[in-house]
Amino acid sequence: MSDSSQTLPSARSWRDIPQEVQPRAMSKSGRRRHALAVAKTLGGLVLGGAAIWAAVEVYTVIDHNPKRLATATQAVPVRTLRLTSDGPLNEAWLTRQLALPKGVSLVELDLAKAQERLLACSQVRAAVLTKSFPDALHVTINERVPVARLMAQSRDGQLREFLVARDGIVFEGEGHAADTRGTLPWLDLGDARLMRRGDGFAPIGGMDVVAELLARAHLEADHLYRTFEAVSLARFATDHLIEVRTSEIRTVVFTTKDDFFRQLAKLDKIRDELRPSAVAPMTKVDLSLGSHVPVVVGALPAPTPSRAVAAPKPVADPATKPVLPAFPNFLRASTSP
Amino acid sequence: MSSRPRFIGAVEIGTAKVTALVGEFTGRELAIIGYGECQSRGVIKGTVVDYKAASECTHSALEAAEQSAGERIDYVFLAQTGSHLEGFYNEEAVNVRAADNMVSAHDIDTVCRLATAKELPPGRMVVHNIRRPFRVDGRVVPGSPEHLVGRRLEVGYWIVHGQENKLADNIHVIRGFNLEVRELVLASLASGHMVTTAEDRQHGVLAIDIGAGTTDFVLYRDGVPYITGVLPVGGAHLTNDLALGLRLTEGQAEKLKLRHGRALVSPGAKGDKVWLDGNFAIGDRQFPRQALEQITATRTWEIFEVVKKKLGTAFAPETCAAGVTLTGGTAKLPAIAECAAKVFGVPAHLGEPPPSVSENLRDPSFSTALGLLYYGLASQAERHPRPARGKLGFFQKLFAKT
Repeated sequence: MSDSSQTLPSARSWRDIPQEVQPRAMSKSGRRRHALAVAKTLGGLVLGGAAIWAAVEVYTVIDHNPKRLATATQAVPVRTLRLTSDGPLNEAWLTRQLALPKGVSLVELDLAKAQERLLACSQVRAAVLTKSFPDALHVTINERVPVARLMAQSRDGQLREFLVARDGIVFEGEGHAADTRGTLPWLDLGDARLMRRGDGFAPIGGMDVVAELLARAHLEADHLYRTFEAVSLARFATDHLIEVRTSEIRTVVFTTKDDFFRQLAKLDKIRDELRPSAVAPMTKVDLSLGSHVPVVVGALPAPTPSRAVAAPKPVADPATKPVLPAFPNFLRASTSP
Repeated sequence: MSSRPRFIGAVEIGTAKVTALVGEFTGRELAIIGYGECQSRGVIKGTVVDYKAASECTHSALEAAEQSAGERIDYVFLAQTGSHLEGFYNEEAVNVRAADNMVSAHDIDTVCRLATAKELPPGRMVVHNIRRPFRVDGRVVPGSPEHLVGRRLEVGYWIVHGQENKLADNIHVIRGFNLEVRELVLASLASGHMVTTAEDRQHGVLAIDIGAGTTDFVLYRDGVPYITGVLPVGGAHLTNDLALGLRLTEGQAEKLKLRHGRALVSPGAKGDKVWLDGNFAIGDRQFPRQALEQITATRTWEIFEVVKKKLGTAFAPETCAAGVTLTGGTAKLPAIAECAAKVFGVPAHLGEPPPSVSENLRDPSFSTALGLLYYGLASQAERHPRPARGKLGFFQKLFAKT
């Protein structure tokens, strides 16, 4: 009997009527109540979620690094200086350049001033300093890449070799090895003079174009680039010409108005066909005239002794006046270390 | 039971007005803390015929009730009336299983399941299963028959059912206010529970709730509802007959009914005249009082006669010792109790809510909404009994002892 009663079909009750109605079937007040109820539910969920998230965060902090908050305010002297650089500058340079006071803590350290000190070195293009508590300072620098070199008088009156970056900044090139420097062509400013600015020099204009030529030569025709001895900007401002002295040709004239790749290709072809040699040297190749390339073949004239040994003379006020002919002569043998 | 009080709404969507009450139920006590009313629209004879209009007035009443209470209603007990509601009696019996003939809970459960498992016509749904007292070997058992000894256990149910779409319409009107309907209560059961006492119900009493569009009645016997019913006539029909008989508008007829209507013709009515408005303005005119009273009395008498006819043999003066209790808006008609007494042949009186109900809610038109709260809570308690004493918490036990 009990089994049969359990399988009896029960009559449908009013409780079987689904009570859900679409919001459009609700009155304005009903929709308002509905929206409020939904908002309350969502608010509750958000609050609950936020509480859970906060609890998880607190647990994580306590569980993984319980001393983090406590040690943040402790004044510990800086013990570690870490340098990350894309150039040759090292941590010894960093220590020297920053010149941090002895016993200074990270809390006391003024990062803006320290960054200013690093950027005072013209070799540094960008510097990022990060405090890593309790006692480490991480420095990440981006160095300038030299594209050419020149001789100039330093502030102590000595004639020294400087490097020039793509943006025309002249810097000492600390850490750059001699053999690396030796591969760079010399830069001749022509009638222009290297001007002093502060402790260094004013940027050289047009270096971005020169850098473009050298980079293209280095990448596309390295056998030509290796013969480049000097680059002259003497006719750059007036005629948009760049004169290059190579070990085989006394003067190769490039124009900035034509594609450097095409000009390099012409030079390469001429060089291959004419085969400059000591017997039949090429004096000048002018690539600035489009499809016509005048080539002067003949013996090199003897260098002028006075120009070859023209020693730079210190100026009275180096801050306002030109320093010296930036480039003494085009003879690599006489100036390269 | 949670400690947070629950705010229960009791809603009666009547033909003349929509009433909403808000009760604060703490788990032990119920307090009426707010009420709202709105003239009904879109409802004819207790049935929703215009969803939008009915929704608007119901929601207005609910909003007014919430504002009056200062709280938001959690869920609703809804009164249900209408001529689509019908009832029938179904009885089943089982042989007691135990060898010692002791009635077990399983026997009770089985016989109750059998008695309520009655298929209904398509589109009909059960609104109430009202159980009558158990009988063990023909002996009436007022309470539970468990552990009594007998060979045969019988029980009967008065099953009230209604049309599914009409029930759904009423529920959706409330749901449109984003409130859940927790209990659907027959209007006659709600008002009858309010205006009769447990003693009356035990002795037998007929409660008649005469509203504007419907007349709901319930006959109690042995403390439980024996028969319920709904007539699609009410106070609005008195108004309608007055309007037709005296050639008046509905509004004028309603005004006359409220001022001069009677359920019995008064002896001094002959030759007496009554004014329509009494302000001597243009259009104000006189009517013979006797004609007016004749119409209202005849119609009232008819309503009672139809109720008596519907009850049939179930109603007998000797099984209705507590007489007839009248409630509802039309019960305010003068001499209606005398009229009912003459028709049914038993004493009749106007029902009154318990003394605990505040003065402004003692009007007979509130009896259904009030009864909804009490009957609805009683039904809920019956369906979800409170945990046994042994399951009380430590503090509850402690306080129970102190």
